Amino acid sequence: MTIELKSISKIFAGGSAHPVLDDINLTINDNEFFTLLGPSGCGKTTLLRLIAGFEHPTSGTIELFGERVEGTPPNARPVNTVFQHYALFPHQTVAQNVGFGLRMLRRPAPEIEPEIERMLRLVRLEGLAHRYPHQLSGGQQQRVALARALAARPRVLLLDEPLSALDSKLRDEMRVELKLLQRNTGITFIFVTHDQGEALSMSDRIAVLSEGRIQQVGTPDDIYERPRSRFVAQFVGETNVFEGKLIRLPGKQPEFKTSSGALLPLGDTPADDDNPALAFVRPEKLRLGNPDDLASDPQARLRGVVTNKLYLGTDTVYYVDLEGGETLRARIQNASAIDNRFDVGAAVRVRAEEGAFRTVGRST
Amino acid sequence: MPELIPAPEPKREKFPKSRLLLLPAVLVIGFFLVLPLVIIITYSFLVPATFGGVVWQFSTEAYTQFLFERDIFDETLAFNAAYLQIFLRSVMLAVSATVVSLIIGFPTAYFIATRPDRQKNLLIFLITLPFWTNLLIRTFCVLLILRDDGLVNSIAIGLGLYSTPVTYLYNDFAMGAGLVYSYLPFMILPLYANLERMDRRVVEAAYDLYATPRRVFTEVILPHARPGIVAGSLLVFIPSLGTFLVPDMLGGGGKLLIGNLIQLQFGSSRNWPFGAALAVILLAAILVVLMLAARRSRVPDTAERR
Repeated sequence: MTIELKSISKIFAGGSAHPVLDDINLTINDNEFFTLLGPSGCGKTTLLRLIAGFEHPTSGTIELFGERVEGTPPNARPVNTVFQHYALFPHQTVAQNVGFGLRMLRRPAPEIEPEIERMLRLVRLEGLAHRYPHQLSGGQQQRVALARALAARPRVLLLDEPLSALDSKLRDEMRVELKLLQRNTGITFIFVTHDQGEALSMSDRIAVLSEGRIQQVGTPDDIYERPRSRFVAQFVGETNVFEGKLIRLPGKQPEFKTSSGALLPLGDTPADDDNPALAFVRPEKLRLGNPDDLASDPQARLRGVVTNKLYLGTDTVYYVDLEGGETLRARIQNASAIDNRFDVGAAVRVRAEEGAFRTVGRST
Repeated sequence: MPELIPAPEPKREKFPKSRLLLLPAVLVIGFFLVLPLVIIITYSFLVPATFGGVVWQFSTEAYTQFLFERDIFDETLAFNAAYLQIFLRSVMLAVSATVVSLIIGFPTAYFIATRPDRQKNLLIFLITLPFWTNLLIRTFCVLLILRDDGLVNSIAIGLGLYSTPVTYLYNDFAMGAGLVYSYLPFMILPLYANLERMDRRVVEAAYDLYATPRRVFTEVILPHARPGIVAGSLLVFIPSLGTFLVPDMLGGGGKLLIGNLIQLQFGSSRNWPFGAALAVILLAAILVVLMLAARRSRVPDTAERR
């Protein structure tokens, strides 16, 4: 395995007593695209800086390829970083920037030159070798930063919100490129972001952080479909959340009774989790139908009235006030013209596939 | 064919009134910069009057005097390096003071620039604090610190480093120390302004890419600080070159610097043209240094814009 973090805590001197990182345990594997996801201030960047060597843990150990590195300075770790705002050397050309790491490693010049060219080809910046950073666009600077960090052939590449300063179209392109780059180079990528879309689309595994603690580690599918805490369910993706309690009757599927009295059909629920914190359903897992058409459908027991409607092109988001008082969002794909048919004020039944409603435990 | 209607000539005043707005600036520059300079240059080509002032008669004697000695009897010229030596000694002292200021000022400026904002402001305030006192008094304080029964000797003897007082005063060391003490803030302030703007993540990036601390300094910090180094060095070098207070008080008046020499010509020597000529020579030397500095600091700049 590549990186092993054991009970890492970090408290900044002079800061509040509240730790920035609190008992982090994490294993990151070889050739993995691993994402640290969380809102700003959750400690994800601090964790990255600990791995890079810019900060040192207050307690706990960091192992890189089986070696303890807590005291090792950044220039002695086989780890390179792509910084959030690129941090290119302003007095150096693109080529000099890209060759910096190799120069520092005292590789002979005839070895460095072709390597710079190879890197610039990799990020498709061949023609810009002699430009200075301030003459480049944001996207080009981003690529230089990437090439610079990759040129010295790190075994781990750390990326600190590298896409946050790009416009949305470029960001989408870079997602694909980064993913390909990771697969082609075989380098372990550790990617920090607050954008759950980036995390879900690129990662092999995701660690969700909140307030210095790891909430859940898993594949994008795990995180999205089977969140294990209220925080993860609400932070990743859109969610309809219901407060209430579990009802388990012998011989029947368990149900969740919301505080307003509505009964939600649950799929398989862990047997030991009889006191869940909440139930939730993703808006895209819901369908709407005429109350009369679905009267006999056991999966469509919720009734309500459409109170608002957002047409998004690919989908339409309906806001449905349920009889009990809760408001539900349903995201219906506009696959055909009839999908976009309910108007504000229409009475509807909400249908959910089996297993669409899930519960989240109280413990994290 | 339709007749072409000539476009109306745009009214063009020979002297647009808006140019009058330049007048205040032109007057200020004219009165306070150009006129004094013209007077100095003019006086340098005149003949000294016996009791100070000048006789309006063209002469290059003042410049000749800088390099040559005229024999009183047969009026022949003999090369005399005395004034040139004073000039070179001044330059050497100013260069030393600049280098020492840079060596002390750079780490200080870097330290301040990397403190949290509130500490920064306080520290910069402390750096500028000596300016609130007259230069004469500050120089006198250096004298108090360095003299035989001064602070340095008392402390060193108190600590048992040596038993008889060491003479620090009235030599080149004392003058250098006085110059550094007087002009160090001029080095620190531009360096601070420069380093404060430096992106600390660039330093981290270099460190991340296998640079040792020394190479982080030479490859990243130094290129960034270059304009600040040039500005600070000029601000220390120029007043150091023209100083007359420091050699008078700390040099003991025994070793003349160019500043004293000029002061003397307008004072007891009553040779205004020679004083003016020395001032012109000093000015020319400083201009040469400025031009070199301008070219130095322009090189990376134009490269960036290419």
